[in-house]
Amino acid sequence: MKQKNTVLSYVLIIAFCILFLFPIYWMLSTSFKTNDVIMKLPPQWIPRAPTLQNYLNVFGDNKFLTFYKNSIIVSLSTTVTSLILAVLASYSFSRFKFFGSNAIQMVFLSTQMFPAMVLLIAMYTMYRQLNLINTYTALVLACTTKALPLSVWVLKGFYDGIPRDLEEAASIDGCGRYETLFKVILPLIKPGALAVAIYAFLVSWDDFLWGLTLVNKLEMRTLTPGISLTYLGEFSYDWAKVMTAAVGASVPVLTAFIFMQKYMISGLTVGAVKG
Amino acid sequence: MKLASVLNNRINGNRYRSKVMKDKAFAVSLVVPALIMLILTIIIPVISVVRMSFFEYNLLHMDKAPWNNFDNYISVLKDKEFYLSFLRTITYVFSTVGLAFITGLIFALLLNTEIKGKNLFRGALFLPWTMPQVIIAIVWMWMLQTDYGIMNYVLKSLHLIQENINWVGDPKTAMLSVIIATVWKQMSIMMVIILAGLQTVPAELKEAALMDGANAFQRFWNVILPSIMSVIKTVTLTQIIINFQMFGLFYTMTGGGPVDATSVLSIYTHEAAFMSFNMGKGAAVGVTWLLFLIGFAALYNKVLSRKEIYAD
Amino acid sequence: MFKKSLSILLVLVVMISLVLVGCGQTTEQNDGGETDNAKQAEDKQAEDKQPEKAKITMTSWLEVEQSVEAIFKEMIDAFRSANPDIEVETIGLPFNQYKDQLLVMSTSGNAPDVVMGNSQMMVGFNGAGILAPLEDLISKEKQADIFDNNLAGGTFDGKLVAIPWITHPIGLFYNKELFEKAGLDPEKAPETWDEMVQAAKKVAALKQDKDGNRIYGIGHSIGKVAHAGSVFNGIIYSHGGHFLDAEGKVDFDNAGTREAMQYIKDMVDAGVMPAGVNQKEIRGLFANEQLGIMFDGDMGRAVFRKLSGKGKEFDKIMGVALIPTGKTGKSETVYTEHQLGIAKESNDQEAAAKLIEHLLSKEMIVRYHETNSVLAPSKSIGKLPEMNEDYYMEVFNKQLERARPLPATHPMFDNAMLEVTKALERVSVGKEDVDPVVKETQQKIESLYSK
Repeated sequence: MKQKNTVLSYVLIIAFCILFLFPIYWMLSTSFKTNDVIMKLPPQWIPRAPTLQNYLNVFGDNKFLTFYKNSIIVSLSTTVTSLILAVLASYSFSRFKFFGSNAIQMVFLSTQMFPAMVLLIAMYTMYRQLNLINTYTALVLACTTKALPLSVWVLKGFYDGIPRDLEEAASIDGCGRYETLFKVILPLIKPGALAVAIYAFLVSWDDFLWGLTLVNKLEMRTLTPGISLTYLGEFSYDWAKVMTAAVGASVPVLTAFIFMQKYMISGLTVGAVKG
Repeated sequence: MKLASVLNNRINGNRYRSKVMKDKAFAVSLVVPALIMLILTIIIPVISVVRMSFFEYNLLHMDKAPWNNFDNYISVLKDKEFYLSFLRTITYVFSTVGLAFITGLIFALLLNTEIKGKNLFRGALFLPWTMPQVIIAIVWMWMLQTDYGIMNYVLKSLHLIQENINWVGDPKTAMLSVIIATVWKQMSIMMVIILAGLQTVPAELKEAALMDGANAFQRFWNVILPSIMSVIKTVTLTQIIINFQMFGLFYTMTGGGPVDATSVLSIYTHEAAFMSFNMGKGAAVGVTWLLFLIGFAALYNKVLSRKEIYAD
Repeated sequence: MFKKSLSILLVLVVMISLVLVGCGQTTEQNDGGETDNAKQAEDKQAEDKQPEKAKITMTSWLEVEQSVEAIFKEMIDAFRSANPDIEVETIGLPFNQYKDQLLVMSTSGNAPDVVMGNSQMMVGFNGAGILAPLEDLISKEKQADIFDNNLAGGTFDGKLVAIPWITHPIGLFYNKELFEKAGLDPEKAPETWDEMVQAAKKVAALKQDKDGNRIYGIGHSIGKVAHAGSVFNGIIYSHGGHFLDAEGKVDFDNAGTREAMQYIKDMVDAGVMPAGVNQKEIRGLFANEQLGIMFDGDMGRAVFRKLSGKGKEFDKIMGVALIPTGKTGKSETVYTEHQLGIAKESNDQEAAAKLIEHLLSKEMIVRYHETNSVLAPSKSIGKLPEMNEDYYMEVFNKQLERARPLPATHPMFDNAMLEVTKALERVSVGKEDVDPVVKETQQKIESLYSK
């Protein structure tokens, strides 16, 4: 019975994965083809004459590497900033009731309920007054603003799932409040914190609107506006190169994610609850 | 504990009060950094836009922006197209979040078992989330292309369709196309967060349920689901809010067309604000949308909290 | 283990804050200049000697767009070396977001000095009060050298605010191989509208090529974007219709427009024309040799060469000709245009005008033509042999003489054209009847224009 289940799980997972990952395979396969074969039927499932020309074109260009560097700087800074702010704020929201705490939570969340499109002019004007147009700071602030409210909200969900007796036990053991938070509670929500960190990273990695609006120098552009600017032009789409840029934009992030995974899987909670 | 503190309070009121004060100070100090940051970067702009929604704020005559007696709101609420866009947004949001949640949950449950190569699968399934929206739109536009798209080719080879489908260009399938692209991307984040939630479910609970002779479904429904309910609640609500905002996929894939079939609120707002230069009207749509979502979030929170179990 | 990750985190925070602080400083120092340190030092020295060095910015979507990147840089560099006293900063914005972004910048008080745009955009920018009158900024000879039609296209309420730079008259492209296969003379392009329709039907009768790729007879951009509505004006003209009446009022609901719509509907219904597609997709089909006939601007050749992956080889199967004559008895078409303007808020309109004159100069246009085969709406330059070097260019220069400007007279023009696109979608993919759709579209546009 149990074995049957496992086999079934495998079959299901593998089948789903193949279906699910096909678009990625197709993207990869396209990036190794030349323009004259990608639009032809029957499709070449495996490129018959694979070429690296697209990669040479895209990566041989300093521009792409610059966009890349900018995206990494902005995304990492955003991740760290939002994670720190979110870990603190969501703990407070989960554990304490103080005057206006519910209202503040709602305000946090509601900042994301407003169409960004309408905010463009107000935001641009504000960053201009702060003299931050064309700085990473502006992008990091804007992306953190985008990632933070939902990060707080998600992390609060994780804190809510942790029994309160833990803090009481810790306080009896003589732990201070910050000590309790960092040494006792935080390790328990580590999977949540990492999930949120990944979320924040990808929010800014995916950001198009702010990268487009708050920065307008070529050497400050991030990936998505950069790709849009270079490959999605007035006259036509260059499929092969766009796919190549897409592969370039996603593979390193994926590698980082696979590396980080091991921190997400843990029996930490169990041990801690016992203690 | 509570009794103890009450007794404690009777014995030494002053000390208790100071503890409460300290608690509050601690609680507030944790929130302040995030609050300041948000006030500066978004709350002030939002307020200025809310203000804008009461004035005639048109880019075609920026020199004067007079109070216009709720004209922006009246013109929005009288516009049939606004309600249609609203309905389309609701359809889009609930189908994407629903589908992404179900698939995400299934994958998370499958990956939370003892199977080998878990990391590999998880990594692979996470790939779409690492791809920027602009690119997701392009990849799907191209897969769904009528004449040389791979989707039609496969469906035709399998004899599932006779004629090529104009996925993005046909009013009947355009919304579906955007939904497919969205779910494809968002399933991953659902899966990751639910999986993280599953890992915080105490093993004793599962063991206890197993000992009580609960079957797999009972274990899931009575033990696992309630434990991860707070995570589910938050992640679905966040995705609902995010998808309400969705502009990029629509703008790149369909531009709101054909014949407005995918003209959701964000496209409607863009048309009002930038195509028609009417920032005031755009702002009024924004405020209406904000009020709706706040109401919805409060309700959603309340309803789903019933299934939740609290550790205390 | 957690401590370790926390410490990594802290180190990261410190590093990043350093980076941020560093960036903050650099930007303060050279607000509006280059980030390159060496260059910065140079600039500083130059500034010390010459405190009044003019600084201008120019927005466009040409800066990094693949096909124009190199030539655009070359033209700007040429200006920089000819005018060492003027510092030029170029700002690249993606084509699809260009209008929004420029509106955001300008309404927030950060308008660029030189604004590039197409006719649909410029009429909107003018409506938003961004552009300055150019009569006294650009030399009279330059103004007089531009075709009257084109100059009128950049003139609103009697004020010239957008000066035509390069122009894209829309002509006819056909696939010689497909013509031959369909039993048509590959060297003879259709001359009348009816001939064209017949040819398209014959090509479409081929149904598919040997690999199963679907073949269409003719393709027009009839979906998704406002651009489709704009170029549809050419088809309206061919059917003897118009968008504006003689007094300049919206008169979309006329016999010619209805016939043009009916033509689209019939061709789509007959499976001769692909439905719901925009120009980019049509170009893909043509480059892929799945399309018999299409309408496109002079940039077509370069686009097809690239998209087909065949380079100049593709020219052999590509025929070009004037748009066939329709109801009016002559070849009717429209042109789209890249125009240049100067912002009202510009601090140095004279320097901005210098840059514009440089871009309009004979040397630059000829050079731009060499790399990208562009056309200039200029009396003196258009006739130069360098601009008419082959049959392809001759056809397009001839087409330009017969082309009309887009009827972009109102700031809401772009919006109106989006309504026209929606109307096209309704009759083609939506299978609705022409008459009520045209009537409703007329009403919608009237209400847009009345605001």
